[in-house]
Amino acid sequence: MAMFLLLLIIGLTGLLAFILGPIKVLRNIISLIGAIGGLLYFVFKIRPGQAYALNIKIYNVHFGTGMSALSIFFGIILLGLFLIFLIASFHEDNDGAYYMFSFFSLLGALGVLFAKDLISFFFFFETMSLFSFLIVLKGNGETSHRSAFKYVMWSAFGAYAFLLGTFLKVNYTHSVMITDISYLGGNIKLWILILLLTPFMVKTALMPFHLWAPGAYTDSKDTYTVFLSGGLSKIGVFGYFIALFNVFSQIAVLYPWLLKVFAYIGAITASLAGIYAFMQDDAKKLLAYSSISQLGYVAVGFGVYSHFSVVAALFHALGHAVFESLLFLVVAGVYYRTKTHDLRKMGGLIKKMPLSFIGLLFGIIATSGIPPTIGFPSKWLLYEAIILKNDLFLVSLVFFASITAFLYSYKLIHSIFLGKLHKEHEHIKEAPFGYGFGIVVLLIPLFVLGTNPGIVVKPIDYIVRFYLKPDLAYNLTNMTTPLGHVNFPAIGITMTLLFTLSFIIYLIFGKSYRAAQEDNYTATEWIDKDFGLHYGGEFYGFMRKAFGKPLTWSFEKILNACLKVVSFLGEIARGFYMGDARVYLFYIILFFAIIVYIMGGKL
Amino acid sequence: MSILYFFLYLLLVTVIGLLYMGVARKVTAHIQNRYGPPIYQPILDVLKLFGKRHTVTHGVMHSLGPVIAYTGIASTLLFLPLGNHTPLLHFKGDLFVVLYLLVVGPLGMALGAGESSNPNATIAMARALSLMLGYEIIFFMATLPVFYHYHTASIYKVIQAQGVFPHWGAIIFPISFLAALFALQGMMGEKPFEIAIAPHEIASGPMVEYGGKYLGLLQLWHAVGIIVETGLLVDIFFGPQNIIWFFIGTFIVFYVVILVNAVMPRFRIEQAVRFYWGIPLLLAILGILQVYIWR
Amino acid sequence: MKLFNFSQSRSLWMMHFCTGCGAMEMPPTMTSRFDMERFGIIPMATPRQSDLLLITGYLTIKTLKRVVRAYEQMPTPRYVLGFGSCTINGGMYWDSYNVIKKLELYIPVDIYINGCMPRPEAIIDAFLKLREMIAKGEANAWKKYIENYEWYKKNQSEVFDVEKWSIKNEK
Repeated sequence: MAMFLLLLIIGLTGLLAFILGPIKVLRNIISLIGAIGGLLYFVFKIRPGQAYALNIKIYNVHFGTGMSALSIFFGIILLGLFLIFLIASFHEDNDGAYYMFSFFSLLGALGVLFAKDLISFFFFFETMSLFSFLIVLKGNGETSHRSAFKYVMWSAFGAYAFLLGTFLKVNYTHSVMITDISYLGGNIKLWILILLLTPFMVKTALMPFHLWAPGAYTDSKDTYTVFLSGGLSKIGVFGYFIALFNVFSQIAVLYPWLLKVFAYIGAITASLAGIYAFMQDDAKKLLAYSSISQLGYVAVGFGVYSHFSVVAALFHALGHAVFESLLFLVVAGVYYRTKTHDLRKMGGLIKKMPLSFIGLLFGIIATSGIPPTIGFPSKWLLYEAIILKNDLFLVSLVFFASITAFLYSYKLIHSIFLGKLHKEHEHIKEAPFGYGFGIVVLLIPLFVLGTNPGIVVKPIDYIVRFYLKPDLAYNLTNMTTPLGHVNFPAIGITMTLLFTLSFIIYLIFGKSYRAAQEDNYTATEWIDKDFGLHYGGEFYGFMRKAFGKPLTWSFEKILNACLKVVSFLGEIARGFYMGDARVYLFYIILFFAIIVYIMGGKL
Repeated sequence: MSILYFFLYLLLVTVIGLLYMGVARKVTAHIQNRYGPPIYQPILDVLKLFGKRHTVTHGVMHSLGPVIAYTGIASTLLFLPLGNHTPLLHFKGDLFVVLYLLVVGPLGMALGAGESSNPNATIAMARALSLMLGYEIIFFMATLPVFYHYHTASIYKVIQAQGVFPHWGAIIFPISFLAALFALQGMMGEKPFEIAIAPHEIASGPMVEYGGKYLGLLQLWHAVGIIVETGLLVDIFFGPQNIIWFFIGTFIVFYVVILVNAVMPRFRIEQAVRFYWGIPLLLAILGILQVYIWR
Repeated sequence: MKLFNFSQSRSLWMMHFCTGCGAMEMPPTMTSRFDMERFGIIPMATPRQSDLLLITGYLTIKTLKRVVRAYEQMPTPRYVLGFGSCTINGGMYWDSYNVIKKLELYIPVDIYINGCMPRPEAIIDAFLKLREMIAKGEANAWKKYIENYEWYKKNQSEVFDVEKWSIKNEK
């Protein structure tokens, strides 16, 4: 019952927020109470193993819900991020419908976590997609309609594949429950698996299905992107787990090549999206590609399919929720003040928005996977898991992807916060409370879990241990794989100590005075105060030359080519029925010609 | 006591690194038919830089940049075994920890250089990071076969597993070693990959706005960096050495690097990245295939 | 302090800024024949990193603006070497309308080299002399600039727009 009550709380809050839409204060208070209440209720009332609270039987088909430890794990991420999104979103100019949609998308996401059968899974999944589509539609960009349309089309593509898979499964196993299908004969089980995996690949924007993501992430409202990228994409990760472990438990035995393909798709996604990311000039587009890239690692973790690679994947999903949301939140705060996402138009904001700078700094450190932040443990585990699986090319590809992370991270932080302050930004203040609150809250897990990964690895291990042979030894602060051993806080402590030492060296010697902005080495030439010293445009422009032509290839072009072929064929078909007189004349002549040709032999 | 040991260790490596820099200048001078400065010249330079009375800073991050850079490289040093010598911290020098900590230095400098709002500095950092896309992946792929062969990710265990002379990584995996040498040239930022510094083109790049103690810290960073980067190569490819032979090994590797540096012109950035994706990448892949065939 | 003075004297980083025709004499001084690097003197790319500013020969008013800017960007202690007769009294440009005659009026000079032009031997000799002075703590021209800032600015304002060209930072 507890689960339904939770869904009820979320849904009712959404409705109330809609009804109270015009009264801003009341609406905000209600939605805040709803979100906090939901989170507290989830944390205290819902336990793993609370299964089958409701069993409906219609036409011999069971519908059911249940809780697993995995659902709890993802539920906390979702509800926590939702709260952060909500508090920041009060600063934006939103109407009641916006809050209703966002609450309903949360409801859909939570429903997916609770579902025990494929039909309700599909239903909640669609609810989530639909309402997040409506929110993207309300976004602030001029292209938001197009992006939203793209988003819903891709979601629909995934959803129908899922539905097809569900029907196939029901047809062969006579059950809609999420049960094992690996005992089925023939190749049908493979098709079911691929069909069931598709919507999750769309949701986590794996490479051939990623086309919706940059647009939807860029054009949705800034604060909602925090939830969309950090939170809702986690449903895709949850889906991977369901499809690869619950629906098809014998995949490593039956289709090892499929896992390999999956892992390689993940690694290629991570690398290519990383390359696309550092070529972007729009802050949110850059982050969108970075998000795609980071979720590629998760796919690699599942594809490698060993105990601690899956642990790494789930840990990385959590890490992604933390650091990617942090980055999106900072960019949202910057947008709130500067009204731009264009990296070429910002710069030097560090002096004006120090807290946001700190947030972004540690966000990019975690994104790049530098210890002692949350990005490091998962990457470390992932590398070792891949080496243990004897795939040195895969690990090289993943490493390449992690280098691209340095590139786009630096571009982001430099273009926004470093460099020269623009004239029109001289009177900017720090981002308001809602954004600052989210930044501070997200920084806590960033460090705590980076130095004490055991806190989260323990429950994850408890989940994964059930399916795969455990080969990872860990406690709160240490982890030992068959290849190596790391003590995470030791890295942090060493760095802190050495930082103190270097800082003391820095303090002892010489005085330094603050130079004015225009006091810069410009080959000793005098420059005006608002001379454009900021290097923002064409950052990494030379990489276009280094990559050469392949950079211009994209899946979009392939799809556009397909579109051309289809419309060409359509044009021919249309001409067949509705052509002008000359065409008909041509048909008649052709007809006679054929008749003459056929008859010709007899004549 | 251990704290004292730790400081002495850091000081020793820093001083040795500075001497290496002096040797590099001396050798380059000899190649150009000059006397060159005394080999302790970089130590004097650093002392002088720290003795400057008034220097300029462009903000908090600009001041902290060199501090973070030195922090990063010094922590890498503590996780890296110097030959037979166990690393000071108990990790047995995990490869990935070392590789990721190596990035902290450039990151710190990138942040510091970025705040100076000098386009030269930022262009240089953009180049340095792009070059990383070339050499870092080659270095990683070149060291992988050794770690894979001995089935560990710990640098210390790899050193111990190699054994004496004919069983060195460099002899068992000559192709990978060659690729790693290519990568090292870029990692140390020496010509032909001196693209990020390029004094005649972008006014010494990231250091353009740094003077006095900041530049002094960056010199120390560079000095320790030399030992860490060449030391990583020696550890992985030259087997267990005692500390004296370890430094001789790093010196030999460094010597090769500066010889190449002394006679080479400079690549453009896209040429450099493309160069790495050509022959060195092929060598690295061949190295990986070799270890696959071996198994 | 003594240690710093000693190291400063042994390591002079020179600003790579060629103002006049005397710069012609620098390449032989740097390269294999005379090799000034053996005294720890090397050219540096930016004023932030340099200790020594060479005024190589005549200085037009147009260049003087830039020189003052570069000089003010250098960290202290900083040294100036006037190179050739032009910096002392205008040399062969003594009656030119746009060349300054006495460098000392605009920035403090530690040491001059006479001649038009001085040979590399003379340059090396000047470097060694400067080195001695620094080691003894006698090369204090940079302090003069800070103490008599107004006076220098007054002189500079007679030939160019000081407000625009000088660097306004509180010391």
